[in-house]
Amino acid sequence: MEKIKRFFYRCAEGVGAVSAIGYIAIIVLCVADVALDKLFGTPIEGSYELVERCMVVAVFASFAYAQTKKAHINMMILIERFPRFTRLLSLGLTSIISVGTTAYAAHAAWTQSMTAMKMNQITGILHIPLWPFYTVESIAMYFFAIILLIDTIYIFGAIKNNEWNEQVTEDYGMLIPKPKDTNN
Amino acid sequence: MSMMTLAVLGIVAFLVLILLGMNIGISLLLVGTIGYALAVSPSAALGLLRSLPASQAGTYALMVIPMFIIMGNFTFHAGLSNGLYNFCNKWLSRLPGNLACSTVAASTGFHVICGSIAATTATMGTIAIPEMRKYGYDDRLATGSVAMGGALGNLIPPSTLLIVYGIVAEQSIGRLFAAGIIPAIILLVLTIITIIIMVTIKPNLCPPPHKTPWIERFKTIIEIIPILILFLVVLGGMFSGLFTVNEASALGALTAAIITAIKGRLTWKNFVDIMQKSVQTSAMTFLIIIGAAVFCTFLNITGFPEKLASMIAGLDVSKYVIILIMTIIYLILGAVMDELPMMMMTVPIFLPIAMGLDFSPIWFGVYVVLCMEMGAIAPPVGLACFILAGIAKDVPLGTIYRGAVPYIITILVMIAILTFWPDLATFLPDLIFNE
Amino acid sequence: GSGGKGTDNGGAAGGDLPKIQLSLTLHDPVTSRIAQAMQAWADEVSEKTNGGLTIKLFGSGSLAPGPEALNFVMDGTADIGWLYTMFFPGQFSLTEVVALPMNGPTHPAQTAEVLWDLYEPTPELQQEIDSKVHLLTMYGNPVNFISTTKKPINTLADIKGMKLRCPAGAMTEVMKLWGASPEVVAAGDAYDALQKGNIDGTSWEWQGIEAFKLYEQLRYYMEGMPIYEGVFILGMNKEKWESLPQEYKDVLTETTGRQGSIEFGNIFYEAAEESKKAIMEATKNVEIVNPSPEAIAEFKAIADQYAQTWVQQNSKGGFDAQAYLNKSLELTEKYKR
Ligand code: NA
Ligand code: NA
Repeated sequence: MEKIKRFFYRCAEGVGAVSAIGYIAIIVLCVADVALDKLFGTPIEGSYELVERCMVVAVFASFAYAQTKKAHINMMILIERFPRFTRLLSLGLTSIISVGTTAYAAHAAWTQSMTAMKMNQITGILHIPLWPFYTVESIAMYFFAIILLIDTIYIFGAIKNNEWNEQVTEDYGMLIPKPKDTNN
Repeated sequence: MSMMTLAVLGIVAFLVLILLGMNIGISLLLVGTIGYALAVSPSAALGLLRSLPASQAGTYALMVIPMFIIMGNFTFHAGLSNGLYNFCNKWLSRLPGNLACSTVAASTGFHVICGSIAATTATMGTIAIPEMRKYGYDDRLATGSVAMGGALGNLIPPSTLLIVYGIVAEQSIGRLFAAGIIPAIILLVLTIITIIIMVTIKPNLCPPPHKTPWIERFKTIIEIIPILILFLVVLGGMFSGLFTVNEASALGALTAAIITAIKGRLTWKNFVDIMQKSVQTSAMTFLIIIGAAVFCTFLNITGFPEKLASMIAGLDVSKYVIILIMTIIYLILGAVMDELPMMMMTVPIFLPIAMGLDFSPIWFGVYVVLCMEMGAIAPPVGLACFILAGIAKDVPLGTIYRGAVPYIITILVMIAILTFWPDLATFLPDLIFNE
Repeated sequence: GSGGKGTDNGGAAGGDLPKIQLSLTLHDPVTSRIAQAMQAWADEVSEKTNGGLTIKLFGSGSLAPGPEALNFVMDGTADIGWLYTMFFPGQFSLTEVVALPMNGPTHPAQTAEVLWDLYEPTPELQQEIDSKVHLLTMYGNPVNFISTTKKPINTLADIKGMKLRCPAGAMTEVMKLWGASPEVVAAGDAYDALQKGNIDGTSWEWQGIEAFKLYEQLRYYMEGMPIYEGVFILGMNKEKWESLPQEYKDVLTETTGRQGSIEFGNIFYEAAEESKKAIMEATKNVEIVNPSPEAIAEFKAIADQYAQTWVQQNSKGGFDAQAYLNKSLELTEKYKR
C-alpha cells in the first residue's frame, strides 16, 4: 500500500506542476498582451480566451495535488473532540463520500466532453474546441478521486495500524492547519 | 416535500457534513447535486455537473485569484514584511502600546501587497510576536493585534474577499477596491484607538512608549521602497486606468517575482516552493467556488433566497434593525464557518435585501467584508486565530481568542459607522470612476 | 416546485391535469423590459391553463450563466432558455444569417418574420435548431450601431485604428476588415473601459447603453448606420416538451411561434426606443451621427466581403448557402419597416 500511495502522490506532484505551468502561462500571456498593446497597439488576439482555457487546465489539475498536501479545507472543530475511533470513522465515511462525489463529477465532465465533441462546441474568436478541456477536467477529477480513495484507505487503516494512525493524525488530526499549507 | 423544506434540509446537511470533517468544497458539490436531483430530476442534476464546474474554472474574471496568490507568495519569500514592520515601528514609537499599533499597521500594509489573510497573519506573527514578547507585551495583546491586522487588510485591495464578492454580486471589482480604502483607514485608526484605550486601562499589558530619533525613522524608508513599487504597479496601474484589474494582477505577480530576484531570494528551491503553495491555495479556493456555484444553483431553483429575502424585507422595522439582524447572523455564521464559503452562500440572499433598503451593492460589499473580518478572528472557527496558534505554539487558543474580543467590538463599531454614513464607502469609487 | 418533481397531481381547476412549473433561465435581470414581457407571457400561459402550467423566470444568469444556457436546456437542468445565439459559437450559424453585418434586418420583429419564413422551407435550419431544443420563439435584439466617446465616425477613414468593444462572431471579423481594433470587454467593465479610454466606443443598442449607464461616457451615436441584430431563441428542453399534456402544449404553441415572436420583437423595439428617450432625458451629451450614403456604401462593400466568407463556410453537404443568403436578403427587404 505504501508503494501505491507513494506512486500516486508522485503522479499528483506532476499534475500539480501542470497547474503551476498553467498559471505561469497566464502571467506570460497577460504581460505579453499588455506590452504588445501599449507598445505597438497590437494586443494578442483572443488572449482572454487563452487565459480561460489555461484556467480550466490549471484549476482542475491543482485539486489532486492539493489533496496530497491536505490544503483543502476540512473542519476539525467538532470531530477533534470525538474519541479516536469515532473520529477516524467520521473522517473515513465523509472521505469515502467525497470519493464518490468527485468520481461522479469526473464522469459528468466526461459525458460533457463527448457532447462538446459531437456538437463541435468552440470558443468565439480562436475557435478552440472545448471537448479537450472537458476531457482534462474529467481525467483530473478521476485522479482527485483516486487520491481521496488512497487517503480513505489510510484513514480506515489507521484504526488498526499504528504507523498509519500517526500519518493520518499528522494530516488531519491536528486542530490547526499548518501556516505553510494555508494561505488564505 | 416542499421546496423550502428541501432548501433548509440541504443547508443543514451541508453543515452536518462539514462538521463531520468532510471537505467543504466537495460537500457543497454533493449537497447541491443531490438537492438538484430531488428538486428537479437526476438527469438535470447530472447536467449541472456536466458544464458548470468548467464554466466556473474558465471564468476570465477569476484569473485574478491565482495571480494575487502568486504575488503574495513572492512578497512573502522576498521578506518585504520585515522592512514594513521596522518602518511602522519607528514611526509609531510615541504611541502607547506602540509595538501593537505598528503590528496592526504593518499587517494592514502587508496585506495590501499580498492579499491573503493567512499569509499576512503567518508572516507578521512570525516577526511581531517574538518582538512584542521580548519587550514584555502581554500575549493577548500581542496575538490579538496580529490577528486583527491580518483581518483588517481584507478591506484593502487586492483582497480576495472583495474580488469574490465582486464576482458573486456582479459588481465592478475596481469600484469595490476603491470603496474599501476609506473604511479601512478609519478601521485602522479605530483599532489603534482600541489599543490605546486598552493599555491606558491596563498599563501592565505593555511597557510605556519611547522616543525614536528622526534619523532612525528616515533610515527605514529605504526598506519600504519595494513595497511602494508593487503598490504603484498594482493599485496605481488599476486606478489610473493604465491596466485592467486582470492585467494588474498578472503584472503584480511578475513585479513581485522581479523584486524577489533583485533581493537575491529567487532560488529554484524558493520558486518551486512559491508555486507549490500558490497552486495549493488556488486549489482550495476554486474547489469551494465550484462547489458553491453548484450549491447556489440548487438553492436558487428552490426559490429559497427570494423567500428568505422577502421574509426579512417584510419585517416591519427600520432598515437599521435589519442590518443589525444580518450582522448578528454573520457573527453566528462566522463563528462556525470559513469566510469564503460563508460569503458565497450569503451574498446572493442578503444583497437583494440590502438593495431593497436602498444600500448600494458597493456599500454592501464593504459591509460584508467587515463581517468576514469579524468571522476571521471570532472564535471558534477563526482562520487568523488558528494560524497564530500554529506560530505561537505555547500560547493557548483560548488566550488568542480573548485577545481578539476587543477587536470584534471595534469592527462592530465600524459597521455601525458605515451603516449610518454609507458615503464613507461610496464616496471614493464615485470620485474615481465618475466624472 | 420547478421541473420534474413539480408534476405532482395538484389538479388544474376544472380538470385532472397535473400542475407543472417550468424554469426559464435568462441572463438579463428580471427587471429589464424584455424580462417583464416574458413575465407577462408566463402569466398569460398560467391564466390560460387555470394555473396548471406556470413558468418561473430566473434572471441575471442565476440559474445558468449566459454561455451555459444551451447546455443547461439540452440537459434539462433548465426547462426553457432565452438563448442569445452569439453565446454559442458555431452552434447556430444558419440562424445567424440574419445577423450578418449590414446584410440583415434592423427591427427585432422584422428579424422574427425573416427567420420564420426561412425556417419553414429550410430543413437544414430546422435541423440546426430542432436538434438542440424545442423552438418557441425567435426574434432579433434591437439593432446594434457604433457609439463613440471622443470622435464621431463619418467615413471609413474615421474608424481606422479605433478600439471598439464588440461581441465575438461576425461583427468582430467585419470590424477588423474595416480597420478597427475589436476589443472583448465584459458588459460590466465597459463603463470603466470607456471612461479610461481603453476603448473608444462600442457596438451596442440603446437598451444596453442605458442599462450599463454608458451614455455617461458616450457622445456620438452612429444610429444612421445600423449594423446588425443578434438572434434570441426561446427554446425548451425536448423531453420536457414531449412530457407535457397536449392541452399545455397547445397553450404554449398558440402564445409563441411566429406571431408570438413578432410580438416579442415589437416589445424589444419599443424597449430600445424607451431607453433612447430615457437617455435623451438624462443627458444632453448626445449627437446622432448619420454618415452619407456614399460613406455607408463603403462600409457595406467590406461587410459584403464577409458575407461571402460566411457563404463559403456554410456551403457544405450540398447546402446552397448563397441561395439561402439571397432568400434572407429578399425577405429582409420584404419585411422592411
Ligand atoms: Na470564521
Ligand atoms: Na470565526
